[in-house]
Amino acid sequence: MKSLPALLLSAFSFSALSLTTDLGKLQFGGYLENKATVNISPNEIISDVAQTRIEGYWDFGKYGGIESHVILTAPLQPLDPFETLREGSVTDVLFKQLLSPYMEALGEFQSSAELLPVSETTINRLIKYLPYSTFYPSDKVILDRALVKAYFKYFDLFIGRQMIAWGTGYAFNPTDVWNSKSPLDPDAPKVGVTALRLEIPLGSLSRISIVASPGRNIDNSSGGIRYKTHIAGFDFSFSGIRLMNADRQILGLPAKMIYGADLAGQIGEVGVWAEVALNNPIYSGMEYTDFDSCYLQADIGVDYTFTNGLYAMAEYYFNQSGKKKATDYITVDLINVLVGDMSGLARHYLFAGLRYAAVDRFTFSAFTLSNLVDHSVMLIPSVEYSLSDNISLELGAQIGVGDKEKSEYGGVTPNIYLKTTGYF
Amino acid sequence: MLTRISVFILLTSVCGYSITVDEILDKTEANQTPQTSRVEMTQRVYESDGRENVSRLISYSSDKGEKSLLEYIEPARIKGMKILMLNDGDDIWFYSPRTARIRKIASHQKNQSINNSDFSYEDMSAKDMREDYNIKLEGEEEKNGSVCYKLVAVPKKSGSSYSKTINWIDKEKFIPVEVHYFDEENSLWKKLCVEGARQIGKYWSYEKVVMHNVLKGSKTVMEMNKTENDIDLDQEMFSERYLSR
Repeated sequence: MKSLPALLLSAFSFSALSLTTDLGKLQFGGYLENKATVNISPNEIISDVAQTRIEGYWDFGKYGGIESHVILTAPLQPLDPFETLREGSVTDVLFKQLLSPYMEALGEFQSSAELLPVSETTINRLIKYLPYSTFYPSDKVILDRALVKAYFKYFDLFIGRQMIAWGTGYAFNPTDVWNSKSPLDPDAPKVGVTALRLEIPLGSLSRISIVASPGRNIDNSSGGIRYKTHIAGFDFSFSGIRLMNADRQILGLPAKMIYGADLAGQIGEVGVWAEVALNNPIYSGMEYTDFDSCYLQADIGVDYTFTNGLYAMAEYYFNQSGKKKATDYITVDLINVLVGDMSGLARHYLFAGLRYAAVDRFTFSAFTLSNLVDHSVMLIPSVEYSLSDNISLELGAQIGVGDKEKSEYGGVTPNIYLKTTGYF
Repeated sequence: MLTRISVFILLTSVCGYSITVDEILDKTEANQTPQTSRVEMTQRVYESDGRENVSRLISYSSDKGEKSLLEYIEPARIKGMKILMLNDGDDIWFYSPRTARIRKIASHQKNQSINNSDFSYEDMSAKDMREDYNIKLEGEEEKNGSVCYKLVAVPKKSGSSYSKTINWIDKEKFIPVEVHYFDEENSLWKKLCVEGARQIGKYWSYEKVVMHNVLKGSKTVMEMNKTENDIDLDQEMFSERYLSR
């Protein structure tokens, strides 16, 4: 008869960050990232944010698993977001218009403080510099993923907070409405969505995906269905989504129906992809959807890798609800950008760039995000250095070029950043 | 008598060798291409300054290499990354757990190196050379102590990273011993060498496969830690469903 410790040892075997049991394999991993940024403005603001992502998996093999990710974010040196916008620039003006009702309410609060023997200067100083105040980024702990995965013979079920990635676009994804995405950092992980997702395979390369993301009631809930298949070397998808959530309700945005399609493949040696989404906002009080307010969003992209390893890509984005002239930018456009309905204020954008691993351990990238309406450009150069298998350093910059007052990107102060990432 | 011998020698020199390219490649494929396989590998990349990067991956293949799946298990930075290749590598899908996105990769990306190694996706493809290359038998040579058939392969159309490859096939075992890859300017670019050839069942495998990048001065060593051939594999593994699980 084996002793209890021997029995326990036979049931468990472990390595540094994983534990194998008779019930499955438990693994931990993640990364620690620190990003220090210098905003090159008259005030020369320095900010530093540290983030740790801890990922836990309990893998039951062919039966499913449990996955949980926690993100801890600490602004080691907080940054006032308004410091990154030039005074009087179009984005600065739009932000102030958006926040003015709240600032006025704050003014009312401040006036009540006159009863206290504290000067206005002192109050302003406290609000401006008080750490962890609601005006500044603060330490945050977010449960970014928390889901149960159940695999059955004819379908897979994913329940809980999870990442859902639809669409084939790289910088722009008109059909991926589950999470907002910044074209300035297309590879960043997206925030998890609380949802129930059903995946029904119809072959090795075809499937139906059904997503239900509940709100506090049916009216505030989202749901969608997508069919994906592979024909003649191309991946094709067709989707239909009803989108509504608490954020949209607070911001006064209507629910909307989105009918989407996308494809990915190649023509000759060149990779191609395209995505199109017809958005139809549903205005309350009407018995039928208002088709007059429909708008189209689409993107098309190409990429190619040369024999020396140089990678080049370009992606064009069209947003019918964006503005045709810079002078037409309004606060509602900013709201739509913040909530993820649009990727920018204007109607036409181009994201393009090059990436090249010139020498061992160094990868050079140079990307641009161009607003083709107001002719402003965000230059996004970077160089990444692999210190080791799991540690990398990235030195980069974001430089807005364009009219400092009238363009979307010209009004952003340039910044240089150093990002250190360690995986475990 | 002497006349008959002379005629015989003349005939064999005019007609070439008694074996054809197709026969050589058929025997080589039969020796090295199981119906299914699972291989645990350690990839060591030695850069030009001597620094070593190590990663571990598992390779699955089915239908004699027509379908294959690579899954990285180390280092942590790329753990969970999967690459699905179907139709002998003509169709490639890449999955990253960080973005939860499955991207179809165009064939031009076959020129790219896999995980900063000296192997490209094209090198890892199990495609039959005869589909994409015109191949000629150019005699016999000794390589690494073995007498080998020397096959020279030139791409039939543009798109390949290489202007030609030279393949030495062991004359007795019918397994590749060394391969040279040439760039667009016909300069020697990479050399593939093998170590520790061994027979596992009816198939030949190697303990190590080494790719030397002559131009860069780097090399990548693939160590086959565990090889299993003709095993039961769930065909669902070679699907998008499995990629995103």
